[in-house]
Amino acid sequence: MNSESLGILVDRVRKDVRENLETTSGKAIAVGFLVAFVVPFFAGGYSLDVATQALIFILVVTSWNFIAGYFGILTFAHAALFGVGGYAAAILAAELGIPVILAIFLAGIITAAFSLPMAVSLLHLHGAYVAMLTIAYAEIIFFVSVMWRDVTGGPTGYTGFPALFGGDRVLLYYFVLIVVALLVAVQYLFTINRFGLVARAIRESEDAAQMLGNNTRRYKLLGFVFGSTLAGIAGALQAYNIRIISPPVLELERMIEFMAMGIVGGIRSLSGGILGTIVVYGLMEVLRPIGGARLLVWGILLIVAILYFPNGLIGSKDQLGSIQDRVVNAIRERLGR
Amino acid sequence: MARDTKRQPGANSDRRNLLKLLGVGATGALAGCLGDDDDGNGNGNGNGNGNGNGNGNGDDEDRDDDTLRVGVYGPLTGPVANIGEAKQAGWDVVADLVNEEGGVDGAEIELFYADSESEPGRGRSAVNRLVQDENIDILGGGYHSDVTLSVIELAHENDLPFIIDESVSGAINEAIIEQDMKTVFKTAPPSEAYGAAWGNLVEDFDEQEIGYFPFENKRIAMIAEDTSYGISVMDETAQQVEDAGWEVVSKDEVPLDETDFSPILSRIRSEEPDVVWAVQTNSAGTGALTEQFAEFDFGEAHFFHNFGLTAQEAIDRAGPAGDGAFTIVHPAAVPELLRELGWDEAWEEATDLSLSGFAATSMTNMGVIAEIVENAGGPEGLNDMSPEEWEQHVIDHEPIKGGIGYVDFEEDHQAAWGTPETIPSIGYQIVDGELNFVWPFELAEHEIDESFYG
Amino acid sequence: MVSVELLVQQLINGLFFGGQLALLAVGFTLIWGVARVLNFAHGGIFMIGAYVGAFTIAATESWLLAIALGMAVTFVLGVGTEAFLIRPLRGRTEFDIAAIIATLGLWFVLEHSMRLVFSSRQRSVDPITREIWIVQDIVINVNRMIIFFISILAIGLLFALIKYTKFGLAVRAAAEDDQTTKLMGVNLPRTYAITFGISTALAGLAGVLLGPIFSVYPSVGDRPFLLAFIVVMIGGLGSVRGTLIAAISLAIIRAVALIWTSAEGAMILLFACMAAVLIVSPEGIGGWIES
Repeated sequence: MNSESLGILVDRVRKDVRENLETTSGKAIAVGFLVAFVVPFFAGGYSLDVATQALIFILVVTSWNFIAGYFGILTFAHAALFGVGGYAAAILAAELGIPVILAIFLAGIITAAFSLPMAVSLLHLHGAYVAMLTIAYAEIIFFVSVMWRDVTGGPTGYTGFPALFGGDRVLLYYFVLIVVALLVAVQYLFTINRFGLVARAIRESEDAAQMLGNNTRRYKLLGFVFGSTLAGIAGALQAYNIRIISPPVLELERMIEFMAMGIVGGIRSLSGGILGTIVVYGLMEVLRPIGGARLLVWGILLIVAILYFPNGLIGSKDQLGSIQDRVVNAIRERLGR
Repeated sequence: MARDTKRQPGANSDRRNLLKLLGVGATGALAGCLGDDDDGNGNGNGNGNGNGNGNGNGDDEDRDDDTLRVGVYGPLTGPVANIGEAKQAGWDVVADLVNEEGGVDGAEIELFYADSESEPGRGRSAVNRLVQDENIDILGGGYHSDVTLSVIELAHENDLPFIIDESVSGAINEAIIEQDMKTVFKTAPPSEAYGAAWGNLVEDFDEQEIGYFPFENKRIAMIAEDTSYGISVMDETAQQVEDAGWEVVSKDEVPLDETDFSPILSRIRSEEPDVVWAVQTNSAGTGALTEQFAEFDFGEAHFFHNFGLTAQEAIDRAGPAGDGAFTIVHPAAVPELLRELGWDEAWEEATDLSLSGFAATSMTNMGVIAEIVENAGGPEGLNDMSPEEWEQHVIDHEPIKGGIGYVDFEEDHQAAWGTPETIPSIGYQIVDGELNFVWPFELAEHEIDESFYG
Repeated sequence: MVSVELLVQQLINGLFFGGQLALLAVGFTLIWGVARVLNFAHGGIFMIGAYVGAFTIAATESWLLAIALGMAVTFVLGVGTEAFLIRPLRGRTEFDIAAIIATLGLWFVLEHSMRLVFSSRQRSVDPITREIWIVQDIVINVNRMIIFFISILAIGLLFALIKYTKFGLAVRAAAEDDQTTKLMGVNLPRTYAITFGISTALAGLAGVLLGPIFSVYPSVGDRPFLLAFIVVMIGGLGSVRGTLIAAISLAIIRAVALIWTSAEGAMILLFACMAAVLIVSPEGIGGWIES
């Protein structure tokens, strides 16, 4: 890559970032990020825990949106891979004495390795078949986490691993904030590049994208494995957040909760993932006192969202139109030569 | 209950909600409105038995010294919500009794519930809300061991007194000792207590020639639900009965909600065991296994069940097939103690649920908390204690009479178990769909009915 | 050595359980085959059927009425789901994904609203009969045998309906190619709605019949749904015949395997079967049966 094309690339990224910052959601996210930095100054204990948890969920949900929203690969294995990352990070640190921060990122790589066979078998499948296949894989992973007692601790879970930063919750919060912000930014850079455009093209019509000379399989493979890696890192953070990792973390119900967050916010954008997580998770925390009825709210949210807000809270009508036009034009312009 | 007078809607609670929302960086209006709604409802989460123990009074800053704020958690929703329901009623009933009798050193007990949702992250988060927002003085409850493992860390970090009621796993005992968790104590006996109980029961039956006992070959087949509870209890029991000269012919682990045991029982039957033993907590599964054991006609073999068959739902599900089965449970409802404490009557009045071991355990949990805090000088005295003083206070405390036995915490923070003076294991025989308390013989209220083993 | 009796016993155990599984799985695969809906609320509808059955039996002690009411309620529920939840989603580019999400939501709504109303209490229901036959040392649970025959009868009627009636022709045509079918003058929305109703009525029937075995509680549908899901996965999405074969053969494989291995071993074997099918032929065995 010569300096000229690098310059063009930088310009383009800068322009896209600027444009995105001008949108409401862009501004909100920028403000939210700044607010997030000062949270520990006025929120201690429980609020800080809620904030830490919300950040981790943001990483899971945006990375799910990255796979499901950008590529149209409706994966149900994300919660299971989230769990794989958690187990990997805890076990690496406790059994092999690997420094915790390194273990968290290694957990991402291990999760990537777990997602690879899945990714390969997904390549020639679509829609509901993807859902079926990923549920099957998720069930296998769940089953292994229960059965492989010597390694995972079985149904009791894996516990007793070293704490991060000696258990300091404020440091943990900032660490999570930085990791999540960085990884969301990386996803964002992916999506505004050629990579993201091809991804959307694959979602709209894989055949068309392929005819335009793109190796769509390579893109799908990369997208799936990358998104899964992030789920693994999020799981690793979660393990150090709650100090135990056990099979319920991997269950299908967790997956549905992540999906609800992504779908309510807007599956087709990262900002939708962020907004959805905050709104849905925040709502659930606020609704804690109503007990079991809360789970009924999950269901209603899913139904209302899919019927009336197919593009989520973020995708109000006119925005949707403009985004679609932009995407279509961009695809024509940049790929359709 | 003073909920209505104490609740201060308006500025204070709004500010709290706002902070909370900012805490998650939430985007305003929607969640804000819902937050108000939630306070407008007064956070009512009573269990509908009309005792008025509403949870939360909406403000956390100005706490009263004339209340003891007790947090309790359990699986209130999710797959075992029926257990959570029984536990919740248990805490409620005893808290009400204590309050009627003048409270804890004059302070009224106010209960705050946290729903673990059977998942450690959720459980931790829910309990943390009680710790931070509701300013609880002391924590009780438990059930899933993985949730409890996460919650003890939290209690330890916050120096919060915590009396675990129901979680069994030895991993909890290990964590308490390894991390020197001064504030955390555990009531339910560990898995090895089950092993010991079954070992003793089998030897007693052998001696007294109960039913088809004694056996020549001593063959036992074992089935466990694949939870940490089921597996650890099976392993401990296997060891104990092997020490008593038995041969374990098979060990099977089944999903919690499995209801078709016919292929497993077919194989076990061909092994000609003298005892088929199982550990389950789910009533549907327990009842189905009990029923199917009878269907497969094992001849002169006994059916022993750990824990699950003490639930009325399981006995109903098993139907007439349950008659003659033996079951052991602990902590278990000890009728004599419940009568003496007047808890059985209070329970009857408050709810139409059956007074199960879960309920008795939670009742005891509340009773123990009230008693220990009372002798610590009430909520004020409790708050003035350092973790070291609290630890010593609990260990030195006299055994406390509860619905499951006498709770006496030892140096290792585990309540003593295994004898009538501590938390005994109780063996029942199912007779005409009723649980007859038949073992240990010295405590028993019924003779074993031999007519089932003709 | 393994006795012949044990082997026969396990074949019978597997066959009976396979019939139960098939009843649930066939409806699930049918509605995908015809209307491209992966109905995640199928287990929830099974649960509704179980409740209707339990209440009817408690009130009237009539199994016929319980079956009729259970199927009727779940049929209406299915038609309503199609009309109000699924139909508005048709025409979207990712219809199948949208339908998954909508039915997931419905599953949560069904399960948790029932929990609010009836709590998590596990109700027991008396079986059709408690009679047990022992033939040559082989144990036959008559209740399960009756359930098996009703299941096979229901599935047989479904096959006949699809094969010999005009409605069945429309169903088959819609499964092949919905656009052409529409041009041929078939009322597609009606076909979808009725098929949906039939699919859920089968789940409802399964719920009524299996209530006495599973007990009745809000999450009672979860495990059977998961099992049906695995069966359909292996049998081939949309293939009714593949699903039937997969249900019965998986149940028999499990039962026979349990002669030699523990319950965990049998589960590992089932998951290994599933993984093998996923790798070799992700479209399941239905793929090569039908072709």
